[in-house]
Amino acid sequence: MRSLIRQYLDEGLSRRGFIRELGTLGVSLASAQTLLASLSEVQADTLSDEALDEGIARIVAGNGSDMIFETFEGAGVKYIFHGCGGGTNRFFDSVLQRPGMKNFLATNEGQAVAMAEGYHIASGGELGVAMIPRPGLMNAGGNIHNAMANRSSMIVLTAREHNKFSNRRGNIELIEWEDVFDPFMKWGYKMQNFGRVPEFTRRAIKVARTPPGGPVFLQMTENLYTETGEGTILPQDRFEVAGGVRAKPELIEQAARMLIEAENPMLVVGLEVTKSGGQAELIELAELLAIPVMQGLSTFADFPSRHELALGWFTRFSVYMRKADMMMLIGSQMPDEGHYILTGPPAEQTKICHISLEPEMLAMAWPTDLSIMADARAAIVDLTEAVKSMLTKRRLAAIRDARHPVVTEYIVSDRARKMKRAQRFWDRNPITYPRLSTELNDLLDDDAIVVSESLFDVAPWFDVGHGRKMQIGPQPGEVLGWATGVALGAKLAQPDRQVVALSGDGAFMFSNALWSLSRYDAPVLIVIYNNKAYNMNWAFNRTGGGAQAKAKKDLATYLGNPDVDYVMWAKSHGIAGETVTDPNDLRAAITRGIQATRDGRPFLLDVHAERWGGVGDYSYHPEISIAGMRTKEV
Amino acid sequence: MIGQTMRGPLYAAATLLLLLPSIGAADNGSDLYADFCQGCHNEDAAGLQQFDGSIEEFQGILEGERDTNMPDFYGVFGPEEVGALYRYITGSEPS
Repeated sequence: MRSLIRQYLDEGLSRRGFIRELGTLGVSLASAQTLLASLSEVQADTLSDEALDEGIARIVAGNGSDMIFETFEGAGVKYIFHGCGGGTNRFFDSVLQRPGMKNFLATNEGQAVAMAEGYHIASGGELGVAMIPRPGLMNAGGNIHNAMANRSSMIVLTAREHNKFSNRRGNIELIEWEDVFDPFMKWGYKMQNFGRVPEFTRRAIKVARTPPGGPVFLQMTENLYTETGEGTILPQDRFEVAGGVRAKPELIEQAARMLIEAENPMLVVGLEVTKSGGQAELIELAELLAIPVMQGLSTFADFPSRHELALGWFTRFSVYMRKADMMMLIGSQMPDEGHYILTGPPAEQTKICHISLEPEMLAMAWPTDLSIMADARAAIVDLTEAVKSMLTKRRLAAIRDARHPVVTEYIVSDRARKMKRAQRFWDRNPITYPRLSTELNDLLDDDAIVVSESLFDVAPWFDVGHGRKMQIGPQPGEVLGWATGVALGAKLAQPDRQVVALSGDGAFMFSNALWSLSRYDAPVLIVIYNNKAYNMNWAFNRTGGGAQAKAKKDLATYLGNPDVDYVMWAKSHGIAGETVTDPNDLRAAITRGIQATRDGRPFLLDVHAERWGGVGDYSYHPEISIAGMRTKEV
Repeated sequence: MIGQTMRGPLYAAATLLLLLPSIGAADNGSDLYADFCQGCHNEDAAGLQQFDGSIEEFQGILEGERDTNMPDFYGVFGPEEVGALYRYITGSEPS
């Protein structure tokens, strides 16, 4: 979809060609025409006169920057997350003149992007704007990558060199920035023509918001700071693209038949379910036929983690993965070993139906019996109706009643077994991930927002999903230094919900938003799972059996020397905190942290947590002293 | 041997296995190792720790009862498959 829209907007594809391409992907003609109509820029000129007549368009005066921010304001943008410098300074002249707009400074551009993403996700789809000076684009790149992996809608705005000096390869123009970011931006444009600034800003907003979302790169050359004139600001809602792309009914029927006829079907669901707002509908579909659900690669809990049909995170080390005769992937990428090591192809007998809005993702890795391009929620609703229409109520009940006890008995007993196993080590010191996560889950509000960074082991211990706590993370993009910025954006979007940021010590040290959290009084509870290591790499070094494993020495992952005092780090930013080393102190410390956030300030808990997944000397690290290499004391 | 350990929660997995179609007969130790183990432990099994315990201990490791932090294979393998993996990894017959 991304490439088709891009091709069409860049005039590489005709209207007829666009509809034909969508048709081959199984999109109904009506949906394709709706999409095309929404995308059509031809409407803009016609609309311009009409809109002025109707009083819904505005003529504004100002420079190029003013045109951008007028368009932003007209599209409901309220918050700008930004770094500083690199030619973006004069954008703030436009912000200053718009009292309804607030700006949030980050001390690292990656955090500005993370804030924009957290705001977008927790607000349920509002557009995040990250204003990034061009030398900071590289800093921002990691979290732009994360945002693209999450399909988070945002504008990344930057100022480019004055067009008098373009392409001279100056110190911060060694490269064409659009070339650098093209692979993980949904679309981008460099605005050099004053008269077209509103048009391309509008288009950037539209493309970013159109499902599947993603970051859009909007650049303005600095000469437009001094060019002034009038511009027409058209209502953004007249350019919105209708979502809910539906599949052809015959494809839905085919998929429904596969579900009905399977002895052991399973669903694997991904972020398109949450993005499309289809979580409740997914629960209904799963319950209709008592189909177990695995959580595919996603930053969300697309299916509630504690539901009686929830099998947990996708892994091929599962009874169901081996025994399923039908797997329906909805809004999820095909999880394979390219994503993470615990995944892999389904069993030979497993038929696959894959539903996604993104044709590039469909049938990506495994032979697929039926691929359907559609909006996840629309497909779930249509599938549910199709199943109901194809079976009598009695037959439906018979299928459900036969499968339900088998599936739920397995899931309930499996969870009990895992908890029992975790409790064997409940009082272990350093503190285990299950203990820390369970205590947090118990003490946090039922509707808390839990932002978790690269802590794949903690997700199963939280009660998250539709109607429960909201899960954001781990980030499938896997670039570290993400959670605290996302948490700030989430708290801004949902000030009346509790927000907690979970981060490993390694991830936290990559980059964090402590300064901004303190500066803007963001009452976020930060919890560091501090095991003094890049744990996951440490674990895989050991299991790989190479020279390091044989010598029981890991060269690269120990973080305990120096042993960072995260509480002191937080305190230097005016943020209170506590170090927790005894599992019996956990509940009291978490409670105090929660109280601090209720009082209106962020709080940091540095919890000394166990390392997992390896053997050998936990604290080995090469003894290297550069001071010791000196031949004189300088 | 699996009968001795099939208690409590394992019963549910066993019930499930009985109700589900059996897996292909072609599975053997080396195939199972390739499918389920080598992603972490390498093709040449270089990453495996020395193991010379009983098949009950082996099954305990697979099913997360031992403190190894391995992924959880609870209920994934039938008794014959556990035996095949044991033979492949240890080079000896289950006692």
